[in-house]
Amino acid sequence: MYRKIIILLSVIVSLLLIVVLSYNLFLYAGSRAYDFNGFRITDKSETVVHRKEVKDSSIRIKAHLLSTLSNKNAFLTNRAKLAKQDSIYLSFQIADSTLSLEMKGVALFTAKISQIKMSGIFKDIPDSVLNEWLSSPFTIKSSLSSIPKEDIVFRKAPKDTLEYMATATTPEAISFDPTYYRLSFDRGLDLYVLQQEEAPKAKRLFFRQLNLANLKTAADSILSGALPPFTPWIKIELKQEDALTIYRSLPNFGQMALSFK
Amino acid sequence: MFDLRSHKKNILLTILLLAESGLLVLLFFSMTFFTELPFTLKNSQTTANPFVTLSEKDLSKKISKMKTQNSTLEKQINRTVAGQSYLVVNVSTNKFRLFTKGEMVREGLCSTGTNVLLTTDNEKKKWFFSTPKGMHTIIGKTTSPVWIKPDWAFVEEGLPIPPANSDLRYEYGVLGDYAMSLGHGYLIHGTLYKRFLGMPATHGCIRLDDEDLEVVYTTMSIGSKVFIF
Repeated sequence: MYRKIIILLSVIVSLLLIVVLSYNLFLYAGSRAYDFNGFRITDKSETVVHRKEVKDSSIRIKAHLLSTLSNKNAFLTNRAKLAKQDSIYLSFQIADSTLSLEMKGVALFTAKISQIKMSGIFKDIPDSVLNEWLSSPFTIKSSLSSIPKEDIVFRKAPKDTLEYMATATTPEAISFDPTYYRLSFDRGLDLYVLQQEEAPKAKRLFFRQLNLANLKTAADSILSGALPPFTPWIKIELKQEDALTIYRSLPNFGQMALSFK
Repeated sequence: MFDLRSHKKNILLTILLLAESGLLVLLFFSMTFFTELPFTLKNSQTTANPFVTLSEKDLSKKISKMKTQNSTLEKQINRTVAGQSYLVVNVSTNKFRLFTKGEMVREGLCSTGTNVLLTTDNEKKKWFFSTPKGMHTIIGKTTSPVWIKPDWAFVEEGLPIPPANSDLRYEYGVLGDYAMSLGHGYLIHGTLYKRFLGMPATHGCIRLDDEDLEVVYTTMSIGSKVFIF
């Protein structure tokens, strides 16, 4: 009897193993086939051009300076475009480890990022392709968060002064809920903002929600005969107060200027 | 009778099941690893600089042009408040910062809207007590302001709403020494409830401490910008 149960369980686990392994291989294939603004990880052409050796060091230094200036130019152009609008937007400088809220070109709030992690694809993309990708602002198309966008308190008006006296409350000090969110931008970018303070339960809950959403998207793609979609991602850690301030201040379809250098 | 060979087989099968289960768990939690695997495997050289193919003369020309362009863009971005004083209010933390000529000259606590949505019993009337986010302009300044109580001030205390010009609507000395108007009934003013500074406590106005209010009042003029986020 015991052996029968073990064999049955073994068969079930083996089947599950095959499903999960196939799913992971599909994920691998999806990333490998990802088209980043016309560039694929399997492309070789760009590599050949850039491998050409340049011995003159002054050219190398100037080329590096021009590349940095060009990246800064794209960032400033985007901020200038966003400053003309009437909304709060994000200004994200990876090299400085800062994420700012701006409006009309005025830095309203700057958060220092304690940790940045990003998808390996950003190491592989040629500068020219990356600069083109960064040349217009990103727009949020959806978000997933552990906190509500707006904390609204619903209250019924009291019938008379007696009821008012009985139900009157005094303001309370602000308490910040554990803050984890993902902003999904157009043109393929997911920005994960995680609070640096430990809140294991809320973090687990957020990532479970996130994994379920990802699993559903990938399963839908596989079932419709396509590879699971890959989205380049950046994960940052901020102070809880800063992460919450940024999430609550951004409009639902807010925009972002991004710079890597 | 105890069968040693059968017992050994059972142990082996159990170990096999445990190993399979372990592998399943490992694979289940390695989805990110598989997603990132193609980029990890590729030892790329592609991040090399795209401008290295240009001559030194062309590079110098492009650098000079790019520097001019960037400087123009920076001026364009900073145009909104160039040289002016402005106030920045964070409604999530109930803190403010005052800037003059790009330098922060004062910061402190304030009180902003409670985000209470007050509805009457029949739900015919609603008031939302939040401080409006965005860029605002100081459109009026007054000393010794008088609070003209709107309808909601009576409704939320369960009192009958008096006529528009009733004496009951005028309350003296509750808004501090100064008030600055942002339009649509929103004011920056003082408060009697100083213990609530740093907390959401208002119906949408911005309350400041007496000393902070005086500095803000004297620094900001009509037309100065207030950024609320």
